[in-house]
Amino acid sequence: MNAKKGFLKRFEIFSFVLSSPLRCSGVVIVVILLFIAIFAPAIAPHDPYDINPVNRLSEISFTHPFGTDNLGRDVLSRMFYGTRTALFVGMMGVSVSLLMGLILGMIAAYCGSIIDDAILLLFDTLRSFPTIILILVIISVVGPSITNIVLALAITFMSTYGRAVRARTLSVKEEDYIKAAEALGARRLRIIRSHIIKNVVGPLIIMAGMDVGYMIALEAGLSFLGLGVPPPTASWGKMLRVGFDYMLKDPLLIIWPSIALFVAVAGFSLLAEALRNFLDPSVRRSVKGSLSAIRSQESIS
Amino acid sequence: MLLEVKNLSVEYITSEGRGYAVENASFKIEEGQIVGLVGESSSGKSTLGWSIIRLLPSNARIRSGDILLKGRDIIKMSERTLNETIRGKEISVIVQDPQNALNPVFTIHTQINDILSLYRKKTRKTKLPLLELFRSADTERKKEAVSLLTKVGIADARRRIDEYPYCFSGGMKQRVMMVMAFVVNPSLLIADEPTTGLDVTVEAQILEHLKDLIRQYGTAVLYITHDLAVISEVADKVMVMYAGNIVEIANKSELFDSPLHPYTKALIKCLPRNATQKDELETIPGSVPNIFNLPHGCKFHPRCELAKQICKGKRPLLKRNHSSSHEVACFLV
Repeated sequence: MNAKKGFLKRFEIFSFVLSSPLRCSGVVIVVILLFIAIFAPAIAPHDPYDINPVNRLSEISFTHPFGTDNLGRDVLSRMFYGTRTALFVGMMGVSVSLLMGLILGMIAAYCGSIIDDAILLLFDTLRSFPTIILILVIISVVGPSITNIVLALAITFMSTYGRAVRARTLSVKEEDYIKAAEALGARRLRIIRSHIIKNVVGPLIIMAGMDVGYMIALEAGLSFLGLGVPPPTASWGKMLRVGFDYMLKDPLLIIWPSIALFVAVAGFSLLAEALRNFLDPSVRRSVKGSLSAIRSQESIS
Repeated sequence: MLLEVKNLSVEYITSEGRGYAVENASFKIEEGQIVGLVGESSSGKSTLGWSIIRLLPSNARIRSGDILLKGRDIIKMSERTLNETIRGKEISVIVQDPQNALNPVFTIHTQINDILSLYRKKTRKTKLPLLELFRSADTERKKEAVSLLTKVGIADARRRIDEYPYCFSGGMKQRVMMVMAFVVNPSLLIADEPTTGLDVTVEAQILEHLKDLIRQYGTAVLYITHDLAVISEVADKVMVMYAGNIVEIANKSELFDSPLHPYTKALIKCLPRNATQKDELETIPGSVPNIFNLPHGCKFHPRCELAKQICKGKRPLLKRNHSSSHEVACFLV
């Protein structure tokens, strides 16, 4: 009986996700995007870097389902490979900034005094710049490349996570269960590793999910401005840039990457929203079917 | 002699100033003895308890004194030795507020198992393959945890052990805490107001289980509380604390039958059972002085009905009176 209940509990998230089409769509979109990113070489009909000037700006056809761009490259293949860039930047950016925020935030909370002040000053300085300006500055200094973009995004977003981590650590480390662990002779590092991190990271997961979409959009913006991933790497932003030049002649060239961008950002936002609802017991319990859809629509709008 | 504390002073350094939360405290706890420590809020009783395992807030300093556990001085130990040999080994603690005493992100089983696996390294059958070996040790420990929980009165422990702390009520959490404190088989348990915040019926049950466990493990206990009624239930010996000083130490019966210190007398007079129904409850006028602004002389004299000139000028020290076990810090006895 015990095992059966555990089994049901493990799959509770699935039934919860399936209970609303909106929640479902977020998960489905992200899973599809991941699939495309991982299997891009296998499912792309052409080599995305294969230049074919004879066939440039061709119409939609059976061999080129989404047409070709100004250099005769297959748009569909480039979109598949662009998914790789987008997801890599989004996910790595969030992971790295979360990690940096976690480390700095914890150091600030644990060391206190001057170190705390210094780290907070760093966070505040970073936050006082508008996001896109700060990214542009960092990229112009270190030069555009995919690792530099991840780094720039990570540094920009780090302060938000860092501040949240610091605040949460400060309150968690004064809790009685930490005192109890200390009284049992647990070392400080062990307490941080096994007790504090888990309590601190939980609430940040939702924030991180939202930020993946945001970072994907920012990467596209950078690539559009020519400060993103260097050519010939495929990126939705750069495809937009190319399409922009031929907008009047071939509007489909900007429509395809725009759709991809929209779907990806919406997908990650919906996923984060579903996660938030799942982790909030009051929503989870009251939700049965249609009510959940109304609720999540409300909170999105 | 299990624990001997000599002239322990603990100072707090705050923006308000410096003050001694514990001043010149000296007492002894024998093996298996249950010692109650009573006092009003902010009388320094928790500070005294936590200073025994040297886990004090960062603004507190142990200024003087020795804490000898089985002859080894805890004050002189390194943090590392403390962690490896004292905290959670020789001495364990039950904290004040059961609501926050368990980490909310782990199941009860995980938390008990953590301690069981650390302290009960079972002799394993070496013939089994490696994986099998771990599994059997694990299920064995789970069985042990379930039986321990059942013993302290948690119904349906087999099922509930996999739940998270938020599913447990305050009383049940405190039962879990009790199991976790005793599982390591400590020689001294510091119970810091373990039943505060629980309702009276649950309190009575918890005390019953606590007494059972104490008897079973033969643990010595320092029981910190502000409730004399609880002390009269559990303790062998009672220490009364006032504004950082231990003002009276006596065996339970002696303390309740013939209290010597005016403060102890007043406390006992305040117990509801001494008032008839139409009377108002007795109170002690005034309140515990702020440790940053203590009165001269005896700290209790502004509230003491019997205060004389000598009480204002000099601070009385704890001294033996009548029998060898009854100690009191007052000029007037």
